[in-house]
Amino acid sequence: MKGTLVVITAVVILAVSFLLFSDIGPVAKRYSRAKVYFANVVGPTLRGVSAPFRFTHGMFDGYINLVDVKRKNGELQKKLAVLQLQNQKLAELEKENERLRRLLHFMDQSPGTLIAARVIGEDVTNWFKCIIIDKGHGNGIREKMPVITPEGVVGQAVEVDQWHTKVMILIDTNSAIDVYVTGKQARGILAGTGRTTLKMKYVLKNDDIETGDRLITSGKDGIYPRGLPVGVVISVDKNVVGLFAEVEVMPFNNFRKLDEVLVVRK
Amino acid sequence: MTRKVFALVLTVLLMVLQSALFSYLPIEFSKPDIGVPCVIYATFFLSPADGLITAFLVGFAQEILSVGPPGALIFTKVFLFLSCIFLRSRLYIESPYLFASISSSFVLLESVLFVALAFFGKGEAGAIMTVLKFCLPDAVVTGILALFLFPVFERLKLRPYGVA
Repeated sequence: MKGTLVVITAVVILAVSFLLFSDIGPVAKRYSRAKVYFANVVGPTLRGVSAPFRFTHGMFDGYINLVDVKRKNGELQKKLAVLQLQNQKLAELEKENERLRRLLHFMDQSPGTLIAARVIGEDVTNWFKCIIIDKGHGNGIREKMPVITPEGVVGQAVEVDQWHTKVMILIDTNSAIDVYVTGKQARGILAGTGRTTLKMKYVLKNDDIETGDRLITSGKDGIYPRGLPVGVVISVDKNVVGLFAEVEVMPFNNFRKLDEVLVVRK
Repeated sequence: MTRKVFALVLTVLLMVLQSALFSYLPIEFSKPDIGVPCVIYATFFLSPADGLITAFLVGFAQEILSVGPPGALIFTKVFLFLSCIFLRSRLYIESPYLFASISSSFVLLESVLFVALAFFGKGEAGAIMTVLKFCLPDAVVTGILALFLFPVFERLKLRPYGVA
């Protein structure tokens, strides 16, 4: 009897989650409110868990390459490794300093419009591509605000709670940006593919576009302001069936190596 | 009861840890689904009610840490729970290897289920290639992880006496 009741409950949950997924009924709004409420609890935990990883990341990043060397050269190499470890720490600090200086310079150019944030996590599934940053509603971040780095566009804020924000990055299959080719008339929609590269859609075969062209946001999608660098064209295939060419684009940002980002206040 | 609550908190913490850790690791080919072995263990070795609570909590926690469409991850986890209920009286899990194999199979099933849900529920085909590309590596890595998780669960002595 108890088992049957559990199965019935499971079927009800299944039906409700399907309604949520299909965005039917008033359930969706209530659910997203509940999600934000619980995210306020998870946020500080994520920030706390992320801190030691951030601390060790810089050192570990360079140090792991030294394991083989250590094995081969014994005591002397151990001493060297310790020195290199310290050196690595300094180099990492210098790199971080340089990165932050560039961020600061970038922020000085448009004071009051940018919010700096650290990346503290990423999507738990491989199906979607998002990063989680350590600034949220309390810092003035709202949904659909663009997220960038001095290199180029990262993505847009999709879910914001008090402590942190989920940013859907360009390579997510649900991401699309209206872009221009710098210095040319060609325009298209840059869509995520779930892989490292992006696909530029709706580029006519007679449009002026070639490998090496740089893409910037057009500002016409209502989310990204005009002129933000996005990526570079790495291949153009016009020998395909249909009206449009197949254009592959490499984003300027390496999304696996993002430490700090800037949120553009609208 | 306290142990069960502790195990649930541990499950959610593991997922938060995974989210934080993977943003610092240069691994792109695979992400284990820690929630799947937890749902299987809770349903097979504890009670159906424990399995359902775990499935719902895991799905909900994953939705908080993901940009996936609302309801999708709860749907897949609760569906996996129902599959476990179906298999519960037909399958006897006696070794970590079998537990790991079932975890891997369920990750594959979950991927197929999500693709079907996206296709029939929303008519979206955009994510299909991404999901299918990662499902096999995800299943393998989850299976390997389940090999280590099984003894951890056993050590927590969550199972009531006499349950195989």
